[in-house]
Amino acid sequence: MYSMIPQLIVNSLITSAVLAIIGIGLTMCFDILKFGNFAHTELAVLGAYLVFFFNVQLHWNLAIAIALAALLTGLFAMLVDRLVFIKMRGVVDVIPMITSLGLSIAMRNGIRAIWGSDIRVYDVQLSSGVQFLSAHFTYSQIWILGIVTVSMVGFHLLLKKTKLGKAMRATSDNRDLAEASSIDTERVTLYVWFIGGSFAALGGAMIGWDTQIDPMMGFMIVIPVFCVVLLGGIGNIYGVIIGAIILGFVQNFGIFIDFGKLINLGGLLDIVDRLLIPVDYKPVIPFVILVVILLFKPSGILGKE
Amino acid sequence: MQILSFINYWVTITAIYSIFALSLNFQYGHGGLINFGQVFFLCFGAYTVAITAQLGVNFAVSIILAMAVSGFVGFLISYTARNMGGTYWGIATLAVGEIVRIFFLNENWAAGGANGISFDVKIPYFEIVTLALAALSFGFTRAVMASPFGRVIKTIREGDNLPLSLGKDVFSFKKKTMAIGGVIGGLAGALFAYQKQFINPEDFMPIETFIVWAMVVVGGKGRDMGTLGGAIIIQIFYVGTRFAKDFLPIDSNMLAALRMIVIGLLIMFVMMYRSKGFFPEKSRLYKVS
Repeated sequence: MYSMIPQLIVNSLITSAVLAIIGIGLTMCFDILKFGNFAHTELAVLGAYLVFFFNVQLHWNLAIAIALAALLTGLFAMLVDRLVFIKMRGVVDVIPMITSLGLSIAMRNGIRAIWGSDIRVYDVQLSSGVQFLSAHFTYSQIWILGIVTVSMVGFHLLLKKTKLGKAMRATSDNRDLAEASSIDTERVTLYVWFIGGSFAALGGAMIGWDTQIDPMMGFMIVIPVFCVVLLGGIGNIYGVIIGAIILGFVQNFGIFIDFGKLINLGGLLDIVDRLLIPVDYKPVIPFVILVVILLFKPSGILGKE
Repeated sequence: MQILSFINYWVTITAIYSIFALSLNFQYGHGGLINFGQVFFLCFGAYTVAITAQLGVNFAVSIILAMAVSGFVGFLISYTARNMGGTYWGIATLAVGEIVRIFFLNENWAAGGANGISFDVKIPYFEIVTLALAALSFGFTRAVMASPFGRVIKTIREGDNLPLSLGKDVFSFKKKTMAIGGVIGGLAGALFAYQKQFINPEDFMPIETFIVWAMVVVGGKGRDMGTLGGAIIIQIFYVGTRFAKDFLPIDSNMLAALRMIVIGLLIMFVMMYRSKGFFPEKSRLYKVS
């Protein structure tokens, strides 16, 4: 049992990294445009399939494929904003939200129409990876953690050190005030879509690199990603990272914890036998956390900075 | 003959989905409750029927039970609406819908798990009964909306402050709205089960919720006639394309994908250019004497 802990930590970190990098775009969009974009995780799927297209169908190098997919998905996200969501600035949030629902259905099935419903894998060499304590890292997992960390640090620097970052923070803080200070909030919004889209594509590519991809995976992760965003508090970039770590660990450790021991106070009582969350219910964990947060603390654990 | 059975199928499925759409329109269009987990009503209604019908319960009793169970579920879920407003609640209900489906998928003792559950109780004159019940649901929602209760929930839709200032217990009205929506949705679920005679958790994917949302927003939220129009438009398209594979050289997977692309784009275009739907709600003027 205890020998599994290092491996569980590795798995949790990978889950957290993917959720965090996808969640960043959602939280920024939610914050600046004031609606929950259901199509955000479909951008991750689009990115994942573009990597598949370049890497497997065109036999390009994986690194080039991922970079190009991130770029194209970012541009696609900007295009979507220009064509669709620009018409909905300042209307009640339910209208853009339902629109994004329609967009997610169209995108998911567009991907299905182009690449089929089958499960796909990237052209990566299987390697033995490295052993650390009793945990096993594949090389791709090390790359995944590295890329996510670098992207996060880069994004942090962008926010804190550049003029664009300052404009983004100002727009998120108060759009009207930012406009009054002659910040072009529409341009900032476009950058937000670009960064959010390419980060989502990176996240999708990480899923494909680590495991496999299929057209339905966007829907499988939409609620976990919303959960991460709401845990961290909408608009809080660092909250997303913390929320992702919490959810990643809870999801992976949750099914290994013997709640029977907890109820019996570690052996003092003898009320119940072993009590584990069944493996089949692993996907339900983020759903339950989401409902509980929304019920008791809709501003998230950290709230907005 | 094939044409006749096709029309027969189309009419009943449209009637069932019209009831389902009326239920969503009641909650969202009239009551302003953004329920993205609508499919759980279909799910509870259908499972109640399947389980009771297997035990040999009479069809009328099982339908009433289905409506009661589903209404009770709506009532319970409405408790989460106390602390949450608008779109947050929508996200939460989407999660609840999935929790319900995964429960039925994994709990074999409850209703057969992934293998589903079948039964052979039939409703005599099913098509006529379904149409009659659809008409009844339509009349019922119209009657409710014409009552003082209906006027209060329409006020709540536009924001909590005005009804609160008039001394209305907003939360209690929201609970009733969800319960009534649940009863109507449960009826749709019951008929859905009787039409298929077999249900499994795959029937209750979130996509069912999105299709019924498409019906309500395309038709026009807050207008029952519009909702019926939306249900008819979406069903013509949805069922029609299912038979198109006999005439077109496209494989069924591709066709299913294309069909959903069109539905997704339709939702987007309606929201972008006609956010009130094709049959928009008429605003009523009340004469003050």
